[in-house]
Amino acid sequence: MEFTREISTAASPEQVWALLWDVERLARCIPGCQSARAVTPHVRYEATVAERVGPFRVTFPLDIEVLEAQAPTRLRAKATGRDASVGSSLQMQLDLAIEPADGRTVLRLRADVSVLGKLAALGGGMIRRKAEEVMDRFAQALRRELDGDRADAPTV
Amino acid sequence: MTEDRETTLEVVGRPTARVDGTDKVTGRARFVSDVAVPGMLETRILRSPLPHARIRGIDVSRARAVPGVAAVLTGADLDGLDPYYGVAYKDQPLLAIGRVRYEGEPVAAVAASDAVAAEAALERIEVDYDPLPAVTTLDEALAPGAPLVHERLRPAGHFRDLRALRPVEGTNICHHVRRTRGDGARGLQRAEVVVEDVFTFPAVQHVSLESFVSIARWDGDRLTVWSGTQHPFPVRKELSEIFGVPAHRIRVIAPLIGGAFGQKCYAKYEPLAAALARAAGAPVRVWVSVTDAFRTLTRHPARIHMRTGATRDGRLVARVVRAWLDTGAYADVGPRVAGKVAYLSIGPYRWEHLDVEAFAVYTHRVPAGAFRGYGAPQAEWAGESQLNRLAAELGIDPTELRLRNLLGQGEPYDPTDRPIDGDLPALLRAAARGVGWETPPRPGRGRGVAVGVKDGGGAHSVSASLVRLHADGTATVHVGSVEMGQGPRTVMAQITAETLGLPLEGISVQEPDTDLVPYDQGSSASRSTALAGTAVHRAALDVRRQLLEIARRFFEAPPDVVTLAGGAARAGGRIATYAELIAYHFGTPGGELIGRGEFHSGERDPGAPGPTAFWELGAAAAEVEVDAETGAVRVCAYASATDAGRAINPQLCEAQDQGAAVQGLGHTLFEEVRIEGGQVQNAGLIDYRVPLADDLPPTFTAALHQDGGGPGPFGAKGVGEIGIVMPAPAVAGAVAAATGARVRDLPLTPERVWRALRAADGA
Amino acid sequence: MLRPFEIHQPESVEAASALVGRYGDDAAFYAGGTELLLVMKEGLVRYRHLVDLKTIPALGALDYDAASGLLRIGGTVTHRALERHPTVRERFPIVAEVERLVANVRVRNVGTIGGNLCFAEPHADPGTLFLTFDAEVELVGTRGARTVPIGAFFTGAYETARQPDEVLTAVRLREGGPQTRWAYMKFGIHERPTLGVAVALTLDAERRGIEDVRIAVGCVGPVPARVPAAEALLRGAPLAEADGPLERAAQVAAEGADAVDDLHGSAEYKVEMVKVFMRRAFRAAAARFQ
Repeated sequence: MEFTREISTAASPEQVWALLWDVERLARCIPGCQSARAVTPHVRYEATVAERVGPFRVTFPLDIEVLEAQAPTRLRAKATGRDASVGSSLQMQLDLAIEPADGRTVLRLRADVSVLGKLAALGGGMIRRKAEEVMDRFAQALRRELDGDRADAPTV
Repeated sequence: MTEDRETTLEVVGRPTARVDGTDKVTGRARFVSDVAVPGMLETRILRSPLPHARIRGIDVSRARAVPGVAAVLTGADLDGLDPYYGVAYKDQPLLAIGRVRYEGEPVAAVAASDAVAAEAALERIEVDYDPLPAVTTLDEALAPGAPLVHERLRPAGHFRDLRALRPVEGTNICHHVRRTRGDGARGLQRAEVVVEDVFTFPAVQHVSLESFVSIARWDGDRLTVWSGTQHPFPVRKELSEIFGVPAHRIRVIAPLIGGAFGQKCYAKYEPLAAALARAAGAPVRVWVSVTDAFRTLTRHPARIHMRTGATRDGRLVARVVRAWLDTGAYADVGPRVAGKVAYLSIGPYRWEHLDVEAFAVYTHRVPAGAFRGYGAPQAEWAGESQLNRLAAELGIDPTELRLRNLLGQGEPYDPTDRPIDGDLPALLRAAARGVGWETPPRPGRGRGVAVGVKDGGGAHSVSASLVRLHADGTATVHVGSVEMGQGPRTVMAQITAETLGLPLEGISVQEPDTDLVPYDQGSSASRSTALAGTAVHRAALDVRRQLLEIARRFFEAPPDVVTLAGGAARAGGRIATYAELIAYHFGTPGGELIGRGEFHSGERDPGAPGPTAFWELGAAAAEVEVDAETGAVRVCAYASATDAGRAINPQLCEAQDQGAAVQGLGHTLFEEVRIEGGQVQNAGLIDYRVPLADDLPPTFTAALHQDGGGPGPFGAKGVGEIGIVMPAPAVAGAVAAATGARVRDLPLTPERVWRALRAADGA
Repeated sequence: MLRPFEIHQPESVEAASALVGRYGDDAAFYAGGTELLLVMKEGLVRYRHLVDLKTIPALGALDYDAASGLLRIGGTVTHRALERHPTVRERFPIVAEVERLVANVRVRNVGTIGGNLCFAEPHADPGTLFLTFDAEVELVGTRGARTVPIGAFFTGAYETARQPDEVLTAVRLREGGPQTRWAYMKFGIHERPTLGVAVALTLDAERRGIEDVRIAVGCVGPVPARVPAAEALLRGAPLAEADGPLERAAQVAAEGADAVDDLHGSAEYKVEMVKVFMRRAFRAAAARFQ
């Protein structure tokens, strides 16, 4: 499943870039993120995210690996995790591009997400719907983190 | 049997209830799921979540610590045995070794005192995967530079026809077959009309009522396996090679099986069960869930590019075919299925020019293998659909177009093979009549036809049988045919009863057990009645010969005046029961007469073309109604006609044919294992839709043609498969006739038909 | 595989609610299990405690009050009971008709209306139908009782307004008057439908004009939903000239359908089928006046 979001912010590209490396602030933006820490800063991170759909609960301990970092324009990372009790895994490739545009900054998010295992039995459509929601919440939270309550620009 | 005897058959060809019927409907029948061995452990299998990955490491320490766990196995624990199996290539490991090649591949297995402990242990196994690029579609697998599913291939050499494996070096093609006659390309140039299509066939699942069950027990260096297998002897051979144990110390028993349809051909979970039992030091049962059966084997999904050329007046001239079969991560019987597709995509017609090539292609998907019809459903979905289209383009009735081109009885299908041994035009006419072809359908409805052909019996096959006539005049039949619902226990008893003049109740058929029955190739390719049945028939004839000889001595009468019937011999008004004859022969009321019979394909006359044992021939016609707004297809009438040669048991033959037709309606209308990104999306019976009783067409008939032309006992043929071939092309042809929309991809779901209708409207 | 669990069989709704309150995420209500046991077997959910509601007699009641025309269906009334109940068949024939089409007879024999609504599997029939009754759902939990309109009950796929400790004690439907007819159409080839459309059509006393119409669409998206914009287009229209408004209403309903791609079909197809089946369901309801 591929997802894209675009966030327009008044913050500068450098400020956006800084947020991406601020574990504590970024963790606040990730929906369901229960904990996050740098294993090796700028190289490897660990985080635990939990999500719930009705009676279904999953908790993924994620191993996050930075694949490419070009300050302050591009960040690529991949995250993998497995919820053994639900017998499902999550794999995500994340591609972030930061560009100045008309005095503002645009953050382009591209995520390629695979949910593997028994969760797939719930049906791809429903998983996708939930993932879209999570992406929306993430984008909104990022915008709020960057712009505070001035976050009025729409997410596309 | 002589001709005159056939006119007075007592048991064969008569309505006969199946011998295991009462046990089955009362729940007394012992299926493999009912087998319980004392001390048997339960097992669970951990499966790969990824379609392709390197296994960096597996940590099983926490799993081993779970109370009740007796063994945890991974691919690293298979020392001392040859861990690869497979019929064509030895490419499939018992458990993934260093690499996983499809989502659902067994990676680790646990044996524990109960299923709960086994499941708890499974959750505690940590596998460190390094995901690798996967090829999960034919296009991806065939792309230049595609990752190779297997870098090295090791032919298995099990069977003669698979010794000629032809992989294409450096690609994912593990086998290809090309057959030509005349010049295909030139033939198309010369044809007045050429139609060209690409047809696809989905991955479908067998959906046996009973899933895979294998129980293994080691007694010292002896191994006993109870398994729901169609192939007890080939499984024994595979186990022998894997574990390095000679055949005489391995015993494979196949109790009643709740459906198989090709899914349970050759080794599946038996080697893993044996490995687990050895590691655990206790008997184990591997019991695979319905969900995981979807991760074990499917029918080959296929893409078939086909061009057919004809003259304006409907004479077929040339056909050129390129077919790609997705065999998944492990070849299983894929190369043989590809060969079948190449052979059968031409259909039973007269051609001047042919150029047919089929490829078996590895992908990172669940393996594909044997499934009722074995390539014929894919090949003839394309071939017969294209004839339906050609008929429409030529403005010729599709039945008429076929009648102008069908091979007659005795005409060669291929110059090197057995000629067509049945009356195809008669079958086609009967099927068409069955839906009222001679009168136009009601408005909004359409009709379609299809002819089916399959080389039955399997090439190079062997069966042997023993029939024992006991001292009390009852008999036991020893034969390896597996009862998986198709009825060999009944049919073998009938053949024996007929031959020996015994009542059916006086005959038992031994459960297939490699220690107790003589060699049998296996119960596949519609071969049991015709070929294993020949071995049984000959064994019974052997007993009959002995009886006649004893009777001649007993009566002091010439052999030609002795008759055998009702469990007794008669000559000139005198009578002696078989018990009396046996007692007379042995000089004591003990002993038994043992008859021996054999069938093997090598016995055929050197002059007779091979290798087909008999042709499964059929035809079907369908009438449908299509909801133009939704695309929903309703099959209003379906009529099939099948050549049974001689129906030993007409009810079972009809049930086989109708069962096959219903299963075929499944892949025609509903069934498809959906795999996206290598992940099975609908493993289970809620989201994988099989035909239900409500789906039976209101008019649904099966006509058996019997002219005694089969090679089996009393002229019998196998009839197990052909019925599954015709539904798709017949129904799709009917949809096109009703709506003008031609669908080239199965199944004909409402959405797919709706899209085709919109495309037809737009065109 | 079904992992071991403890089954509790309390005698009252309050006791049941208290049990789930006490065990929290470790417990779930059991009201037939036709959905619950499937996901438990798959290991998608795990509960050490199941609290059986079927043994609470009050939840199995089915009461009809002729004076108010109110049908109160207890939470553990099975699909099969609804399908066969004489009063339901006589006074709420559409309910019996829809229930007869739910899944298969094995599911209908044990599956309950409360279980069906609370599991909120998106491809279900009763919720869609009940929307056109403006049904009310009674919930009782450790913090008391409340009533939720069915339109506010479904909040997402598998998600409802019910709190974990709340028991769906009943769903209340009000009988339609002599000028109201229902129709429900479902479509699909799988065990679970691709789409369900319910229409409740009320005509004026002369049966010429559309006094009211309630339309609900289910299965295509995460939750079943009414389509008020489509209803508004039809309300007040003369029945004899309903084709134009119906066409527009179907279009509006299709545009508003929150369809998702899944095994049951693409969103594009589902949207088109909403149009088709809204037209058909409306016409079927209208035909029932004849």
